Amino acid sequence: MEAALEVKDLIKHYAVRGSIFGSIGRRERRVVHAVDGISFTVTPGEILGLVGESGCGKTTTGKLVTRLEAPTSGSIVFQGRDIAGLSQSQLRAVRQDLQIIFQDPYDSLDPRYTVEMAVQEPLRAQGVDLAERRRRVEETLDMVELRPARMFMSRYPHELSGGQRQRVAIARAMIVRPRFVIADEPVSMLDVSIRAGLLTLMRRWNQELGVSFLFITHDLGVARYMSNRIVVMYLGKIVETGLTEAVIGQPKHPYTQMLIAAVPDPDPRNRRVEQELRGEVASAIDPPSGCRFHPRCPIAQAICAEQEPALRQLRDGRLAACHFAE
Amino acid sequence: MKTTLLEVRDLVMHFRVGSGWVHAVDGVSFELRRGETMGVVGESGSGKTSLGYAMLRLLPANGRILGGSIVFDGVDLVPLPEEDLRRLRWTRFAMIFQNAMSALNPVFRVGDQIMDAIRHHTGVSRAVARERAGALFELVGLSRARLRGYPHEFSGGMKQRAMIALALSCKPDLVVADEPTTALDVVAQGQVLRQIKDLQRDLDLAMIFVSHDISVVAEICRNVAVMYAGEFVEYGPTEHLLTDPRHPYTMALLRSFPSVRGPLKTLLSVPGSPPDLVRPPSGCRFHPRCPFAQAICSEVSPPATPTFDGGWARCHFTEEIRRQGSDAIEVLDKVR
Repeated sequence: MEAALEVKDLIKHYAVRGSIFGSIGRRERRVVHAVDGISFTVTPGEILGLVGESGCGKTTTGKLVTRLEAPTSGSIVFQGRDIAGLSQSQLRAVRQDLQIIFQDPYDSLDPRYTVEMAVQEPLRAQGVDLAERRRRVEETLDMVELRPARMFMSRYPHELSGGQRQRVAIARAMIVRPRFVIADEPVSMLDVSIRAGLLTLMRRWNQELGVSFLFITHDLGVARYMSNRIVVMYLGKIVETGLTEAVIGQPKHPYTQMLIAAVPDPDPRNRRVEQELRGEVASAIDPPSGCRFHPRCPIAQAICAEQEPALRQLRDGRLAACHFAE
Repeated sequence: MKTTLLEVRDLVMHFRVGSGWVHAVDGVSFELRRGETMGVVGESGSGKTSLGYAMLRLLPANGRILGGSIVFDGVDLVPLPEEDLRRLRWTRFAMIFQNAMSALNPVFRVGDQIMDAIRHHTGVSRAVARERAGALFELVGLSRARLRGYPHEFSGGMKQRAMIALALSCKPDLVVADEPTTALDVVAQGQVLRQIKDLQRDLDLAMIFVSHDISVVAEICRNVAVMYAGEFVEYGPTEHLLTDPRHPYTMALLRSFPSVRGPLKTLLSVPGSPPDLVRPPSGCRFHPRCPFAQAICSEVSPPATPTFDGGWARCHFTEEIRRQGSDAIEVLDKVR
């Protein structure tokens, strides 16, 4: 079967200026290696989780895949077509099938627009007539459980709670019936008691309509709940990827192990294993040589500083980029 | 048994907004012994941050304590003159704020800011203050050399450690920490939580740990209070409360959290959204969202029913919930 999305050797480097003094003297151009050669596939109807800490490149990956930013190199094949090099006008045809939901429900809605105006906007751009737009808005608000839909249509963002705003943002992405959705931390700003409802809503959307998701989150519990497969990133690279239950249940890369060991748990019966939590994420401007995780890695050897480990297949089928993973 | 350090009784703190008074803290009572840690969990708007500030009488300009007492080591802080309060702050109790990034002044060296605080409150010499600041940095896992660094040279986790060092600088008996790890990534959060655990053990420090994250509180607190709409709805020893909750809100909170360990559970959400605290609901404030609510719940505010080991829950149906055990959760499931 054709992949819903296939990303290959994707790279995004940002040029940054050095210090003030550096720019006066020799013009030193420094490069942030935000995303540094990643490849992954999302199969149709799948939810792929993309996890990592801040600065790992997960949000940049989401922006590249939706072409809100242009990649430095690499390919992004969506519906059989490489969209990495398309112009903004060429992208318009693709956008309908490729929607994005952002983290901040307070930021992503225009305060001057009613819910109806905000949700119908993508349809207007497509030239759908008014009566049909109204009907679709009503139907979509009902799907995201903003009921009764007619009552919510005339409301402004400031009259809505955070959870309701995020439902509006989801409705706006859903209304064009996309086949692929990128969700970047869609619930992390929301209170826990309303998070579950939104996650369930997105899962139903995936299961009932077959919409594929790239689900970006720093929260491993949320990633576990949402995704079939998972990609773990560290400093612009993929360190481990495979079935979610395998990767989270028995992580093989030392970074994934550290990440999971650090997650607190409310159930005293699920006490985490005591594992050393060493160091801090290095700078993406001068990433460490060899394996980028080696300065923090509890099992690092001489080779780790010299040679970058390939992302290779382990016995159970998952991939890990570690010289010593088995 | 250790002696009581802090006893809060029927504390009421409201603050004025355009449309009236927000009932941010409405009749909260608890007791904290020396060296003990209590967690306060709640969602945004539950009043947990207001409570943290109110119990140290750090009130916003529009806030008023309208009733109750806050007895700290035998002294009621509510009627205490501001001057006397100032003497107690930092030296007897201190606060760690949520946003360490903005609490440190960017144009001064971090070490100088800590030394200034030590000298201001204790009047020791510069050399003594420097030595103590260095020892504090080591205590929180930062190297002494970092004292000469500026805030922008510190990562989020390092800033939060420096804030903890600042809070501990005058050897307080009590530290109130408001979401001290929320802005941190998971590994840095794990590191800071472990540091706090070590400090509790080594310094016999009493702590009140305010957070929206029940799992963070579970890591480091002996007792937990669950706050909803300005009130404590359940209180008890962490292990009991988190494995055998008796208030429907606590049950729902625990089931709304996707875990990375144990079997994968279906998540539950609480219908509706938190109430407007200018006009809180009658009776039990959770009743409009509660799947177990009966007529009595909208009429009578439930009393605290004892649960286990000094714990209690404010629900009319704690006994039914206990009898039904995990079946009660099924009720929540069906409602969804």
